[in-house]
Amino acid sequence: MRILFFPTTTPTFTESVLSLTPKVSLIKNSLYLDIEPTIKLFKGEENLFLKAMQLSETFSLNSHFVMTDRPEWAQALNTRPEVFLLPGKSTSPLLNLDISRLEFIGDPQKLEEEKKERTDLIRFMKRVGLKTITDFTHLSATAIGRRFGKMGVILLDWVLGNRELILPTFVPEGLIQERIETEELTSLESLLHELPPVLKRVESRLIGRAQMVKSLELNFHLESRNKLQKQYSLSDPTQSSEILLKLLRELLSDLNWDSPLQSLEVSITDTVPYTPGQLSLFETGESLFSDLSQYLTRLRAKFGDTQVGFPLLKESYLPEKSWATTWPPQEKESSHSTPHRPLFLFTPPKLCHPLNSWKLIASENLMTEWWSSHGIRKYFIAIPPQGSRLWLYWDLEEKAWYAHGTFD
Amino acid sequence: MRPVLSSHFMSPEALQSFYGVAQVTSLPGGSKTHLAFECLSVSLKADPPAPTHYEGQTPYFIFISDEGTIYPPALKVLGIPLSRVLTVKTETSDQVWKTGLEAIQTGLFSFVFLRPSKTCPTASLRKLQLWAERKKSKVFVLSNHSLPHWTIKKKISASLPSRAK
Repeated sequence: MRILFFPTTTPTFTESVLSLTPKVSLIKNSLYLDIEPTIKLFKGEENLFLKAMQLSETFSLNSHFVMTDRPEWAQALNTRPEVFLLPGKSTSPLLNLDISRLEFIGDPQKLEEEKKERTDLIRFMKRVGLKTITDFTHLSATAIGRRFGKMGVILLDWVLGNRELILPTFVPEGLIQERIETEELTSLESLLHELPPVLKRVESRLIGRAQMVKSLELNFHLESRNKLQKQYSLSDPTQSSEILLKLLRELLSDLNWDSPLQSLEVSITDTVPYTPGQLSLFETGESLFSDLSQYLTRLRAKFGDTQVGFPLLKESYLPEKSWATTWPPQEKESSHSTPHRPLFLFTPPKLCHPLNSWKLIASENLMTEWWSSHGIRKYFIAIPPQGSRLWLYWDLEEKAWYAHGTFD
Repeated sequence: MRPVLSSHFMSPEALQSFYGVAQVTSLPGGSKTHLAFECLSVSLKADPPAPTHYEGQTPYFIFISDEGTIYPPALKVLGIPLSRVLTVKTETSDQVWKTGLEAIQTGLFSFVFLRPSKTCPTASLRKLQLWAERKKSKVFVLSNHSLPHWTIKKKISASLPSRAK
């Protein structure tokens, strides 16, 4: 067994290390990683260890750790900031420890509960001349039982590795949320500069949870105590912090707040499971589609869902309602016959005033839906002596001319 | 520098053979939008098909405008698959130019149609031109405005006779 022990951790870092091994245990702010099952996957213990260190940097955690063979020994061996013991080489350093370190050998879940009994026993051991753990293990189990009672025997078993410790597996809970304090940031540029480490943490947590972002929420806490909230959906779920940064850059450049920003909170509100290996299996076509999806997400964040997309034809005789913008694009398309209609429509239609010199050719009459405010439209193709042909309509309800499109 | 092309002098087939920016204008009664999409239609029907970055894939096209949007049923009549045409309606003409440049830089679109209501600075158009050539995109600027490069074109035209001498 190989155990990587962090004496202090945070729940966020703990969920990120799930990307290294599924055997993660969080016991009272201490983190135990059983990396034995995934060493081969990471092509060696060293690579896995380096990845763990990179993650601890991402979460600004101090680099105190113990690498040892058994979880019950980890706390006792935590005598200096960095303890790296090669496989099978943990026993000797353990036995050379001061007898007082016996207090930390065993099931970490019960150490607090047994603390008083252990402290009393260690005090007694010191009185009878035991200085190191080796002195203790030189005694026979019978002698230990007779002199130090049941606790003495249990401690001997832990030291010799005769007991099997099974720790509870950590399961991440709640939303992924990261907060950035913005009080000292004076510009959007500096805010964007501060975002990458935050998004890197989001990415690490998503990888740990094996999830991809589907929708996210931004909460802007303003000095005026108002909270500005924005929600966004991604057309193509992702884990990548780079993609999220591009998206946020678009979103933030278009946002304004009326009071200084104190903090920004990024919450992942919806996720989808990540399918391992899906990126490496991407074919060229899928890659194109994925790239397009990311680009479209950014455009939609900037201009709105209705302004960006692939046209999908709908059954409606009203020109502006005969299609909708969609994503992903639909291959199946219905056929429409649109005689005398132009290729370009003004949205919204522009008020206009045809001149006497314009030639107007009636093209069609359209009745708008009864629940809408507008009534009947009489369409004309307008041919000015100079310039482009226009598609006009006379709104019978409003008594006004509108240019709905142009043949230009 | 490649001069901006005008639809008055170029046939749709000829426009197909270049990568870069082409300004498409309309003579009275003509349709620059129709002409530009006619080029796309011809390109789609070409046999053998034009090579793309993504082998075997029908490329994507993008239409960006601040005044309005393309009318998809009319586009379909030209034989253009709507599932390949991304339409973007921006709020300002500046955004048309900016989004157009970004679209070219992504390398996702073989045809980029820009229909801005106003012109843009020379530097922006130059960037557009360089990126279009680099990414091998055909960019059609549908505008009757005199774009900055018209000045350059005039200069080039004026210098030709003296060079011949």
